[in-house]
Amino acid sequence: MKVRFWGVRGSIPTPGHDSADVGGNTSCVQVLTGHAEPLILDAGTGIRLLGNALMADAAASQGLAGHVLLSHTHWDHIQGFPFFAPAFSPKNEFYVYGAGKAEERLEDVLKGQMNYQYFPVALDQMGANIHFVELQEETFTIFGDVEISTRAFHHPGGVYGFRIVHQGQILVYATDMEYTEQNLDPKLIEFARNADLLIYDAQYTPEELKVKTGWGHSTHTTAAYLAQQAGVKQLALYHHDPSHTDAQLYQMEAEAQAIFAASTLAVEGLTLDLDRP
Amino acid sequence: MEYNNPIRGENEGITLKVKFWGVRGSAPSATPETAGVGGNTSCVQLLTDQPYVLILDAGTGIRLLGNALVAACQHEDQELYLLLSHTHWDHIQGLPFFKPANSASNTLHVYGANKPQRTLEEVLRGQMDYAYFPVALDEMGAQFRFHPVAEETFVLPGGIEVTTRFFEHPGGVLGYRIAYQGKVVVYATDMEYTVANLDPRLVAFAQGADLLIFDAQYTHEELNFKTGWGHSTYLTAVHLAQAAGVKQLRLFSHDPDRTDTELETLERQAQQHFPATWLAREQQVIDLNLL
Ligand SMILES: [Zn+2]
Ligand SMILES: [Zn+2]
Ligand SMILES: [Zn+2]
Repeated sequence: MKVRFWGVRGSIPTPGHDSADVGGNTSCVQVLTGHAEPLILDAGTGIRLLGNALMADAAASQGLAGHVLLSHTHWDHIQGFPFFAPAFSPKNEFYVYGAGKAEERLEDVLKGQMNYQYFPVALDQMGANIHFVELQEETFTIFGDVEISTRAFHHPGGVYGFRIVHQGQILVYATDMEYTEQNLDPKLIEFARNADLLIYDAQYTPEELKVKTGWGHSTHTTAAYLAQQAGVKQLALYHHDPSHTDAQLYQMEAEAQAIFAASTLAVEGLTLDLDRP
Repeated sequence: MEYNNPIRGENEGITLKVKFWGVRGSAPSATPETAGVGGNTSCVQLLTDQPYVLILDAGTGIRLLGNALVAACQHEDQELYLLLSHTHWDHIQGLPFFKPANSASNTLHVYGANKPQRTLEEVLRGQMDYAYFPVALDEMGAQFRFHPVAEETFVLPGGIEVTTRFFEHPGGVLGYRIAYQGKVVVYATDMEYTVANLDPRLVAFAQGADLLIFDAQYTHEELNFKTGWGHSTYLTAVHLAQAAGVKQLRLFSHDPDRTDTELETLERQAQQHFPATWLAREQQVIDLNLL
């Protein structure tokens, strides 16, 4: 398994020179499993660039049956979908997964984003055949051999983590969740246990968390602590705060490495190979 | 006299200046290839000697404007006026991240059109519905005052005169003509016209402006398959600028995929038709007295 980061920023995209090295697009990760069909985690603005890359390969851009797993439906995790070019081709099919909620259907939340007051094209007009799959805490299989487990974690409105197992390799995607070293959920440690790669929310510094308690995010030090507790091989610090410059993020990476040596910043355009941590 | 606009010094002795905080259309563009012109979505600030903050549209650029107000310690006890062309994402998506909206001592006056089924206020609250955002609009802190706008002329404190007209865009869009002490800025983004079907109302609206900020999102090749998406080309922009006899034209609402190099080529091509044409560039300030 490999993963490629198309968007690593949290909350809002940050165009500009200060954050250009690490990248300013919001959450989107592509999971490469050797199958031709794309497996995508979250649909922040990074998915626009992923879509453009898929379309550039003419052969691969038609007849796609892709899977998009949404951790939750906050803007920075769905705002790229209206700009995902492969979803405009009637030859393509997409399965969009997200938490099933009592009050609002996943489909309605995503359609609401493309309501005429907010966007000129409705979701139904996009063209591709789009299916919505509402998830519980469960385990299911796609592509015949990619096993996906979901668990709910602590975030305003709720969030799902994804544990993806393919040919013995384990990827855990756990973003947008608020935990500290003191209140780390044993359920989360179990969920991340022995992952080859853990992608975890490291939006805040501990100082920032003091004024952002309840906003639903963790710190780079909690990420490193979790990686240690769960015995993962590699940690990717993810969902960077829009106010953090490249220089600040490299500093946070160094601080995380002091706690857990195999820590690395999730950087836009970076591909990590789970074979070679 | 105490000036109240950021950044201190930038507004001394001026009638009217314009500062671009976001110039991109549709979606923010965070790539090195677009960083020169800028990747934030629509937000333009009008700098005057009036003691309040005046802003056109609240795309991602407004986050940086808010940060600048905080850095200049001008984010409290403020009156802020926000004029919205329409409520497509790229014109409102920065508002939840606009720090002055978090201060209880601020009043934010928001102008824009009501929709047949939903008021302006409901549309902006909808952006911060719990399914999409962790904080509701009412929890932000500032006092929000919503002012529904139709086609009309109204006057902001200190005599800044604002005229609005509806133009051609899916779901509708308002153009703003803003006049102050004899200077005129026309902000006309997100509207679909061609050289062949230019609306005489638009020409009249832009007539004699010192500065025209106009939608030039597509190339004419792109417009062939983006008809109905609600945007114009630089050719329409220069044609309009000429027909309306404006002093300067700024091409605005750049496509998120358009690189700096491509934009500079379009700028040169536009200048061949209307020499006083430039790209709207993020962070750039234009003094209308110097045009
Ligand atoms: Zn997020
Ligand atoms: Zn979130
Ligand atoms: Zn629009």
